[in-house]
Formats: sequence, C-alpha cells, structure tokens
Amino acid sequence: MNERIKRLRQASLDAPNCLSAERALLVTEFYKSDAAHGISAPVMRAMAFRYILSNKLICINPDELIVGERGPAPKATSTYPEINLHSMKDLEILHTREKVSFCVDEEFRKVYSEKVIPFWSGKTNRERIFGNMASEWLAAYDAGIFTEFQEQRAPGHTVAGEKIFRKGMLDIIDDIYLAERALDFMNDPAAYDKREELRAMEIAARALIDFAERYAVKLDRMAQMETDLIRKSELHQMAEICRRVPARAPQTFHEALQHYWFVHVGVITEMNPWDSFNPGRLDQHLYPFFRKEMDEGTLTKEKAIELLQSFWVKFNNHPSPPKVGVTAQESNTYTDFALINLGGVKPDGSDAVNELSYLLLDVIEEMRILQPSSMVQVSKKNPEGFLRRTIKIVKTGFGQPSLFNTDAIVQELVRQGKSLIDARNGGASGCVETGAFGTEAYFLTGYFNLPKILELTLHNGRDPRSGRQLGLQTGEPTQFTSYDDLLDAFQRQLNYFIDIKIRGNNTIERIFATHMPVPFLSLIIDDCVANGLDYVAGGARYNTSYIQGVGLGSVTDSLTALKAHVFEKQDIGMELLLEAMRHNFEGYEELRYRLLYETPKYGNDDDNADKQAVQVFERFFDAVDGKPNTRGGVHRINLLPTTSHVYFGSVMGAMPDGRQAGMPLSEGISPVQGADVHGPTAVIKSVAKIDHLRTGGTLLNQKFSPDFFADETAIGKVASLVRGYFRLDGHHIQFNVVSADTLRKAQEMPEHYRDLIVRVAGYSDYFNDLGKDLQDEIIRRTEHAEVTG
Amino acid sequence: MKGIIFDIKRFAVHDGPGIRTTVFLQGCPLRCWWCHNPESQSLVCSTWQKHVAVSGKIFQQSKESGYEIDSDKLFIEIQRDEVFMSESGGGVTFSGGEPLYQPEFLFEVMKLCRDAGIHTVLDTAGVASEKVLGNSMPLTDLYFFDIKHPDPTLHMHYTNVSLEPILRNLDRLLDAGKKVQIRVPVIPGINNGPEQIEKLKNLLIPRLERIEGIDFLPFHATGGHKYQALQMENRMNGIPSMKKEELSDLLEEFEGLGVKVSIGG
Repeated sequence: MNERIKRLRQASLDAPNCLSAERALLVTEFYKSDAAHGISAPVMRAMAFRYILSNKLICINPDELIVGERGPAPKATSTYPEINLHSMKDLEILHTREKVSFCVDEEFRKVYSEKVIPFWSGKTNRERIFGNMASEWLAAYDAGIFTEFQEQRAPGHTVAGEKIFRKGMLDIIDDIYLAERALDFMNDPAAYDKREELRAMEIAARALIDFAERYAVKLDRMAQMETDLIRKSELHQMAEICRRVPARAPQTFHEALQHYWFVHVGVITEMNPWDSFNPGRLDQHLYPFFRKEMDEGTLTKEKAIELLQSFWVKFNNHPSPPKVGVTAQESNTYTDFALINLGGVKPDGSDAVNELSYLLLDVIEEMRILQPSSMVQVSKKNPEGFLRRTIKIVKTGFGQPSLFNTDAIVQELVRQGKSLIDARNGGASGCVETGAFGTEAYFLTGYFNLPKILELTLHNGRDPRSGRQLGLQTGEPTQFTSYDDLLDAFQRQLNYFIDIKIRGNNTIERIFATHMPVPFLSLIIDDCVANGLDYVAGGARYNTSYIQGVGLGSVTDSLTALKAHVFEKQDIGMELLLEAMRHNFEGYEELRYRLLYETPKYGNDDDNADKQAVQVFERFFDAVDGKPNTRGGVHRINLLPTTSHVYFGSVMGAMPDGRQAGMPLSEGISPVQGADVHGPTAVIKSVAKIDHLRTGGTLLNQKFSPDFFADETAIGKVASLVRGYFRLDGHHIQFNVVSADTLRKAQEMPEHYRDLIVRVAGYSDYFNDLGKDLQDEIIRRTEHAEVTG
Repeated sequence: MKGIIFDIKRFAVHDGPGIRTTVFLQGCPLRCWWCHNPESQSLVCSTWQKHVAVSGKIFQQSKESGYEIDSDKLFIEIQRDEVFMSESGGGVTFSGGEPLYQPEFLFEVMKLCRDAGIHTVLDTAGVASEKVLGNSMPLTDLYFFDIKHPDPTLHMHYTNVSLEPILRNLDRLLDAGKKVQIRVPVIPGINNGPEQIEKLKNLLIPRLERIEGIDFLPFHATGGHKYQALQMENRMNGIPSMKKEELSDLLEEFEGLGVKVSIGG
C-alpha cells in the first residue's frame, strides 16, 4: 500500500459516523417548492434527485483519485425523510446508543425540528406502510414473527450488470428515446405512464451528468490553486475524466472506476435501497479496460492497484443509512452490503478467473476494511490456485472473502426461469442472495422467525409472551396423538403467517410503485428503459420477492426433541415439557440435560435430526415459492439471518431444544451453537440435506481456529472441504478464523481491538460494534470450533 | 462381523493425506508409558464418566470407551465423508490401540474400503504375526509405522514388548515394496537424549531409501485426566507437553540425512 492509500485509508477509518442533514433539507425544499406540484410521481422523484445533485456540496477529499461523496464529507450519512422520518427521540438514540451510533449535532437537530419534521410528519412512506397493513400483520410484526425490510429502506438488491460499463448516460438516453418512439398510444393503455417514466429517467440521467460536471468544475479550480505539480496534473486529469464519464461509456481503467462510482452515488442518493448498490462481477467488468491499457502500456499494475484501493476507500466512506427500532436490531451494522464478486464463469460457461481476479484479491487482503464486502465465486471450472489464494486471505481472519458456489447459483437462477446467460452473469449480493446481475429486481422483504411458528403451535396459536391469540387455533398440543399431528399444525400456522406476510408485501410493493419510483436506478437495471417501467414497478427483466427463513437449526432441534421424547420414546410428556418451558427450565435441569445431551441434533450428519430440517425446509418452500408478487414475478425463499437471529431469539421463550428464553436462535442454516460435535464434514453433510438449489441463497458459518490454516497442506484441505460442500450443491460457506481467547480479550479491552473484524452472518463487522449478546454468541461458537477442531 | 472400536473421528487432517476419517480400534499389546489413549489398551467394552454442567447443575455422562460395531455399519460411517475424501485425495486411517490386534474385523472393513476405492492408512506399532501382517499388505495403501524407542532393552522397559519382531515386520513391509511412513513419538527424558537419537539414526539409515519419510510426534500430556478416570497410574505425571519448536534440532538433524521429515504428523 503506497503512502497516498495509507492516508486515504486512515482518513476513512478515522472519519466519525455522523448524520448529515444536507439531503433531508434539499429534498424537503424541493417537495415544498412549486416545481413539485402537478407532476407525475416518477417525474417528481427525478426532479427531487436532480435538485439534490445540483445543490449538494461537492466534496473532494485530499489525495483522492476517485471522487464523489453522498454527503458533504466522508461518513456524513444522509437521511431519507420521505421514506422514514427520524423523530427527535430517534436522533437522540442514534446519537447515544452504544453500538452503530451516528453523531447528531445541534445544527442537524435544529434543521430537523424546524424544517424536516414539520413538513414530513404524516407524509412518509413508513407511515403509509404501517397505515395500510392489516391488524394481523401488525400483530405478527410486533410479536417478532417477521420483520419488514421496506419500513425504513427502499427495495434493493440492485447489482450492476455489464451494461453500465459499456454505456454512458447519453447512450442510455438514446435508449430512452427509442423506447419513447415505440410507445403505442393507440393500443397501450399504459403508454402515458410509460412516457412519464421515460421522461423521469432522462431527467435522472442528465442530473448525473451535470453532477459530474460540477465535480469537473471544482477539480479545475483546485488544479489552478494546486502548487504541487504532480497533484495539479492529477486534478486536471480527474476533471477531464469527470467530463467524459458518466456521460459517455468509459474508455480507460480509471474512467471505468469513476464511472461506476458516480452511478453508485446516484443510486444511494436517489433512495436508501437495501442493499446499497454493488458493482457485481468486478473482475469481469474491469478486465477489458485493464487488459487493453496493460497491453498498450498506459497502465501499470501498481497504478491499477492504487486506483482500486482508492475505489475501496470510497465504499468505506459510505455507511449504511441509520436504522432504528426493529430494523436496527435485524441488521445492526454500518456495512451497507456492497458485495464485490470475483471469479465464477463467463457467459459462455467457461472459467472466468483472470489476472485481475488475483489482483483484486491482493487489494482485499491489503485493505482490510469493512466496506466493500467481498466474495469469491467458485465454480468447478475455476483453478485450484484461485481458491487457495482466497483461503489464504480468509486465514488472516477478517471474515472476507466469503465463498460461493457458482454452479449452484446458476442452477438456482435457471430453476427460477432465468436464461442460462443471465444466470451465468449473476452472483450473490448482500449477504448471500442470488441474483441475475443487471437484469433482476430481487427484493428482500423480511426475516421470518421459523422457531416462533413452532412456539405458537405449541400454544394453540397463542403467543406465550403476550398472551395474545395471534395464530390459528390448531389444537392444544397435549391433544396431539402423533408427531404428524404436530407437524400438520405447524404447517397450518406457517402457511397462515406466510400468507399474512405476502399480502403485506404485495401492498408495500404497490406503495413504492405508486409513491416512490426510482427512475435513476431504473436506468441501470434492464429492461426498465425498454419497458418504460420503473424498477419498483416490475420494469426489470426478472422480479423476485424473497422471504428469509431464520432459525432452521433451532426449529429443527426443537421438532426433533418433541418427536424423539414426546412421541417416540415417550419419556417426556408434552405437559411436562411445556411446564418446563414455561419455567425457563428452572428447576427442570435434568429435563433440560436430556434435551441438550440425549437428543439427536442437527449438524451431526444424523438423519434422526436432519430429517426434521428437511421437513421444515419443504414446508417453508411450499408456503412461499411461486406465490405471485405485484411485479409480474413470484415469491421465493432464502435462508439467512443478518443479525435477526438475536432479535428473534429475544422475543421467544424457552424451546424444546433446551434453548432458554431470550437466547439467540441458530443463524443461517448453521446448527444450533454448540450442537454439532462431529466436525465440519458432518455439519456440511447435514446442511446439504436441504435442497439449496430451490433457494435464492443459504448461509453457512464455520468458525475455525487459525491452526486449520497452518500451512499449504492444511489450506489444501480446507479448499477440499469447500469443494466437497459445493459438490453437494451447498450455496455458500464462510470461515471465521479467530480464537475464542482473542475475542474474550477484545470484549474485556475493546479499546485494544478496535480493528478486530469478525464474520457475523453473511457479512463481517467490527467486533466492538456488535451487541454483547452477539459477541457472547460468537465466542461460544468459536470455543466450540476449537474444541471440535 | 463385529469388532470393538473406541472412536471415529471425521475431518482428521493430521492422519495422512487429504481429509480423512480415522477409526480408533480398541485393544493394544503395548503398554507405552506415555499412552494418551489408555482407555484403549484392553480389548473390552467399557464406559467412563464425564461431567457436564447444565444451568449450574452437574450431570454425569456415561461415555463408551470401547463399543462393538458391525463391520458393515462401520463401513457406512467411513463412507459418510467419501465426497471430501475424493475431493482431497484423502481416505480412511485405522489407528488405535493397535488395529492389527483385531485382524479379521479390520481386514473385513478394509476390504470394503478397497472395493469402494477409499484410500487406506494403517497406523500400526508393528506388533503382529507374519501372517496377519502379510494379509494387511494388499489392503493397505500406506503404513504409519511407529518406532517407539530405538534401544531394544529400553523399548521393552517402556512399552512392555520387544523391538526386534517389530523391526522384522518393518523390513517385511519394505521388502514387499509397501509405502511406509515412520512415526516416532518424542518423549522427554525417555527417547530424546543424544545417545537415543544416535541409535534411532543408526536404526533408520539402512532403511532410509525405502521409507516415505519420518514424522516426529511431540509428547502431549493429554492423557492425564483419563488415567485418573481409569484409576490407572500415569507414569508421565507432571511432565509438560512438548512444543513443536523443541523438535526443530531433531528435524534439521534428520533432514541432513536426506529424508523427508515432519513434525506432528
């Protein structure tokens, strides 16, 4: 890392996470202005976007080579009052909370209390959403049966495809004109709406060009004042670049990065999509620029690395917009889930690993910063050396990159009806979510608490926490005569709550389509322009809505305990078990011992336990998969938790697997913490018994102590472990390489471990930024890995 | 047929090439002072008690330290990790105890492995009849062959069996062209003095060209609690585990002979 990058990296690390009122103020000014009246929703949103970009402060940081900040300074984080209006109390919480806080200064509070809050109260999308949800939806949401991604964030999972590296905004405007000419006002009743959308897209495209021009002007001015001749020439060159991109397609490596970055800033300024935005298959998109310039001698490896590292810093300067309430609990992190994909296959199905893939791995290893996240796609066609190089970075223990199975991803996408080429151009975004990059609008809609469904089933649809009847009356559990009776009741409750969730999703989708279109993002994702339809309204080629199942291990082990003890061996009566659960096993230690130690557990390659995981999976799949959304697509499942397994555990009492009230649930598809005692191959065999190919992503977390990666031979064995999992169609695996001892020290003396990054679940985070319960959970997982290792 | 084993360990990454499943067979004719699986010595099924705390209360867990298993059933257990074995060039390792102590059972399982194309390592102390050793050869891809002590008298003293027939068996394997990896436990104060190292060298030098390499296994004081649980005398009481670094001189010395040497398997 050269001196410049060291400075940029350090400045990014040191920048405080603050809220900036700039965007909120500008969007409020715009909505209050005459210009915002009497126009269609997409045009209004495009004009708001243009107003922000034309009036925001142009921030150019010392030394930097790639320009563009969402806020007025690095980590000065925007708010989106039209989506979610933070109250003064919210601001105080954000300012003072121990984890993932944002400083909120007096100025901000003043702007909010005098201008932003008075204008937006009662008009936000969040209020629209909650105002439109059925009472059973609200009750289920309050009880922690599911969460709702869109209550504070716009729909996301937006990943760039190849197009934006091939086309400038002017080229896309030409496409808009083509689409406009093709409108059929004679036969198409939606022709007017489409024209409004296309006009909005053009406004948004031109707004980004003008925004870049503002950078060019400022760069020119800085160049004039600059006394250092080298920097002066850099600034001149950067100004030139900002005049070419994003207006025109990039021609050089530097232009490609700057071009992408303007688009990125555009997406996250227009709205606060979850997840932020993502360049997708970066080694593929950049390789033509890299190769051409390397061959022509206009780029060196050192220069390429410096540019990539500057690019990395830009991601790190952009924390996730502040979250509050349940949304903060389900995803408590600064990371905004931009996940760089490397490796995989080309559109023709051949090995896609190239020289730049390795160079990017070097960058990831050297940068060691929170954002962007990185992952490596491993196809059976990718070389062994690439996988081993990746594992050597994993070994350094900051939880990146995670490893994905390209061959599974392609099959998942093809099963969902994507063309083979679109599937091969896909990958994973966010934590582990499968998508066809550049062509799909795949919305994550909320986490779904599978163990809570069993808890309700065991209480005849009543939530023991509140005493409220939330679910169906599926019978008192003491009346069940067989395990199948129980399973049937579980299935009925599951279907009931999934349907509630889907009805909510379909309402929320229409709320966004009606009130919060995203004409800028619609420029990026095919075929919104050709269809004249917004990204949130079904304009994309593929439109998927996901529900994310959480707690597979916990619900499996609970069902197994019921099956084994209550119905088969009959050594524990249902009555007694429920009583023990009510008492949180206090005074029932012997019973709890048997549940913990004398019951088959998921994660040990034991069909007596794993069968129940498959049963839950199949029922969850049947409840969700194929149910229509409002965008011409359908609902699908995936299995990942971010941090919701901690929140979901906190709303639950003791369960038949021996878990006590309030404790975290199992995460992803991983076994219950500490339940797997036969090592990683047994875990992999267990979790591979569910059909990953019918999901849009699963998450498997494995904690390894560093000695598993001791030498080349050991690394080869870990590589084989990964290959073995992927041969069994596993979707994703990640390794946390850290000792429990280190983590405990970090907990005691957090000040000495400010840079300690650990894998949480689908992403890495600073250990210090995790809640104590989550820290404890990771320590337990780690200890366990050391013991079984 | 049935045999007695005391453990099956999956993802065993120190017991031979690739990812392996190691089967520990019960029973051993040796009585090494430093044995860290003392529960495996006698060929009987037994249990020992483990204490587990649940919500602050202590529960006794009965752990089997030797249990009967059918060869077919054992083979199914071995096969569970076949996908990882084939990805990694791994396989199964038979260890113990002394696996050749239950030859019929062992060979039945090994035949099933051979027919399934699973690579086999036999981790033996070399105490077996000529016939049993001969029968193991077509079924074994790689031998891990222990030399516990290079001095015949001290070998008898510390292991309770004599060295000479062990060396004869070693030569039989080498003469038959089998792949043999020598394994030497390094026990502080017992076989790591300069005199003993010299003897080990002399023992190995004539055989160096025909062996795959030498593994030095540093002493681990892991068996202490087991001796206590079994109410057996731990004759290594109080002697700390050796660190890998303590073996670096040894490593250099033997590497100087032109043989592949590694530490800790």
